[in-house]
Amino acid sequence: MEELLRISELKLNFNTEEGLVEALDGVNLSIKKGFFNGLIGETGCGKSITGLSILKLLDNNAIIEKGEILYNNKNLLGFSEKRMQKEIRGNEIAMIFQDAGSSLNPVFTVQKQLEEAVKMYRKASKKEYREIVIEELKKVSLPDVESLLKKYPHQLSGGMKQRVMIAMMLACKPALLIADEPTTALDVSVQAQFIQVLKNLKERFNMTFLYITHDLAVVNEICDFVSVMYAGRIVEDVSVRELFKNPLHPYTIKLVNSVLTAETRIEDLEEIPGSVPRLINPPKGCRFHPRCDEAMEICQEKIPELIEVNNNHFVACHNRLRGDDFGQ
Amino acid sequence: MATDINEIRNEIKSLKQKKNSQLSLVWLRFKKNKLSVIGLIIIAIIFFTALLAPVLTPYNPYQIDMTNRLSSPSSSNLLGTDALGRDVLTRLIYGSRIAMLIGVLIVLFEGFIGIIFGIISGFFGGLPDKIIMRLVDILRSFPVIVLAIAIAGILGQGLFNVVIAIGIVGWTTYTRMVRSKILVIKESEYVENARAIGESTFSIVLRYVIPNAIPTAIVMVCIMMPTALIASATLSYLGLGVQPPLADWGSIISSGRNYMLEAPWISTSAGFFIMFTVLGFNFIGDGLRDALDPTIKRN
Repeated sequence: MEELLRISELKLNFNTEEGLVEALDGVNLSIKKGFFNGLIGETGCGKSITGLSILKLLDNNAIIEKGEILYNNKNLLGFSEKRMQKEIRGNEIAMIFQDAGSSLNPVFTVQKQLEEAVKMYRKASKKEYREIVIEELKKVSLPDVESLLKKYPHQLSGGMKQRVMIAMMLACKPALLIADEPTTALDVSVQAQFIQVLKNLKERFNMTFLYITHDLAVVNEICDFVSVMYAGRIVEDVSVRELFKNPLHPYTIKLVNSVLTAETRIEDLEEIPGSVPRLINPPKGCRFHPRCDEAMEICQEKIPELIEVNNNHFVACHNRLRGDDFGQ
Repeated sequence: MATDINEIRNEIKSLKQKKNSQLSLVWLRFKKNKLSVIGLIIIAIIFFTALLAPVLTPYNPYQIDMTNRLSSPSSSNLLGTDALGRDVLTRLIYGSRIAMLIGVLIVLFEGFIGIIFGIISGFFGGLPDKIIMRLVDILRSFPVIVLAIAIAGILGQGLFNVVIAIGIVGWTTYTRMVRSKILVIKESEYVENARAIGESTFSIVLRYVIPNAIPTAIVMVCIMMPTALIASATLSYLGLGVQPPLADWGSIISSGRNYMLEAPWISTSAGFFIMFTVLGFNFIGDGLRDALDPTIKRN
């Protein structure tokens, strides 16, 4: 399996009025080429920040303490703003955001939006641009493309806007597409269509995705590999099959057990006690220990490292490292 | 409900007919506000009478006729005559030429400076923002008309000096409005999205920030126009504006002031001209603000 992008030991703080927020604390993430890589976790655990830091689109108060983001063996953290804009954003790595509705420029028609994206990477005549735009829109299974071209974003439905967004990203021909909760703003039936569009794209164009979400049902549907994030750290790294069959980290176990399916009743659902800690003064040691049933003394002191316990199954938990309850 | 649906249908229908442009949509919404349409009619009338002044008026605005001094409104002089026997209506219509010219010049002058500073201040922030905003604060802490009088006094009389005297404070309003609008646009998802596909800063300002700030600027111009008109009328009322014998609304009020009891029509009719023009622009401004903002709910 080829690695397209690797984040190692990324530590990132935000300087806020309330104090230093330790948003990412040594994140290790590997994005495998040609696969759907999931990044899951509760709200506020740093998923979006991880995505944004790859493109270096963070706010000014973000301070990167240490770490590397290696893309094709080049450290993106060493790139200047200008170089990121010219070489990386769009043509190598692109990102779609949660709310497609507000991600499109309200004063441009669909055609103009897409043409702008195409123009950045290709020189062509006016007629050719139009054809390229139509082609891109067809890739995302949009119906009646011709009449769509003259429409403004506010005249489209949420699902359509989300697809126009993807078409816009595809027009840039990125190798890696970061999708930050792209289905959260869509209703369930549109979600299903949208996921189908993404799957087709992966198969036809061998694209790589980093799919950020908190929706395990979507993860099950679409992802090949999953990284579970908790309070600014990756706690488990696993294939999607193993995630549901054999989760190891106590947090992952609880997360998987809290998913509502048609068979489960609400009384049987497991709730994770407490909430994600505030990252201004995060718990010492393993950040999950205050909410963990299996917490030991060492958990309060020492940060567990992400270690491979099975084939391609990484976990960061002191309990699992001792090896006494493998495969539970 | 039924009318609502019909209305929506009509809107869709007319959208299809009019090739679905942003402009026709704005016009459609603007039309619904009756007051704005009235405002537009008032301003259109004033604009065209100003344009066609020599054709419409039978008198010369500078023609002195001492035999016909201070005559009250009649069929030959609809709004009477002034102390020098000149036809008041004719002078007011010629005055609207100057009022329109000054108004447009002031708005262009202060709008140009204000919008550019607003964009710099809002988009780039940091030191330029601090400098510009403190300058705005300083200028705003003067009583506007007193500062304008002082500047007009220094520069002397004349049309362009009036424009400078009023515009030198006026641009601050544009800067504040445009800046706050741009702060919102800058944080919007479509700008973030533009950055994520690798658009350069220049192109973001040009293609994302400015087009989205234009509605605000248009509304600002319509709202600032009456302020500019009143300010210039005030200056010429005080004798610091346009030079007599040029007919200007402010100077007409001023010249009629001495005859308020014998010939109240001179000052009052000029006052009404100013009032209607100001009202007209305000109505248009209100209508445009609603029409250009697609997020406002209409009932």
